[in-house]
Amino acid sequence: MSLVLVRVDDRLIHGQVTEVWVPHLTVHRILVVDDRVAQDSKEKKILTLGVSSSTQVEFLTVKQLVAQYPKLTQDKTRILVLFGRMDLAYQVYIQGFHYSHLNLGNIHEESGTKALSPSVCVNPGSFGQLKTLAQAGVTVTLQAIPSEREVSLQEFLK
Amino acid sequence: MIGIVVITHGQLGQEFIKTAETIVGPLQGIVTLGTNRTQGVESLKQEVEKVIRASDQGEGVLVLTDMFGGTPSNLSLAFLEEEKVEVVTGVNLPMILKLSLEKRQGPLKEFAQYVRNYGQRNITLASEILKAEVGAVRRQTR
Repeated sequence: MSLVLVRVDDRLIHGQVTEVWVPHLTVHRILVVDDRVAQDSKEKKILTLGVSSSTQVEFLTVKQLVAQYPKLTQDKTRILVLFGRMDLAYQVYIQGFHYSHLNLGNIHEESGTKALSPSVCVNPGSFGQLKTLAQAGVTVTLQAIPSEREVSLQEFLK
Repeated sequence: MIGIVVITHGQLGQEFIKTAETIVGPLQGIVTLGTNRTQGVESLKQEVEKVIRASDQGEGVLVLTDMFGGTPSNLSLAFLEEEKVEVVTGVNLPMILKLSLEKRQGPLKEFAQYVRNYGQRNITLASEILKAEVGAVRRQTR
């Protein structure tokens, strides 16, 4: 399996993804993992509209993604996995969908949040999940677009 | 009158209006909204809904966004509604200028098509136009 980017982005598929990450990493498939969006046919249609026809888009629930893990490990295509919320990225990891790198793009949580970058604002619960992932060996970095400096979560754990 | 809302990344919409006003004078009844990276998607969505509702004077609202597939456009598309809300993506300055001169009257869909067509017509490869013009002149004088 070629997971070229595993990203948390509450805007899901938008300009930063279609205009920059997809061509930059030559992404063939985008897997959008969000239980709510997976049930919403209108939103799925809207999100898919901006993606070029050469890139496949699939919408999955957490359960579906985890179930596909064995199949995805055999897949030779270049995959971008997008999570709409931090806890979804955490849940799939705990349930066995293991990725080595997690990119934080856009997260805007409310109540008691800590701003890690202009576009990443996490609450203590999510921050704890990020710490757990980092301890498990996942490289967690903040970077909205490739031209931006990649900042390691480690800088906030010191 | 059809309500006009320009929804873009950052200050682009505001700048379009400001720039248009330096060319044609004050523009009335055009509302702008800019998204920024520090704002969450839910609060943005609420703002989009608010400006669309506030701009409706009974004849519907035309939303102009900067880019198909971008966040302003994605959020606006959720409010598409026949005869009430239409969305045209890829707004440009000629479209804004045209809006200042037109009577903004319905049917909404036809008005939206008109604005779309006008915007598209104003994207040109200048050298081709110049060449065609020269060709046309030559044919006439031949």
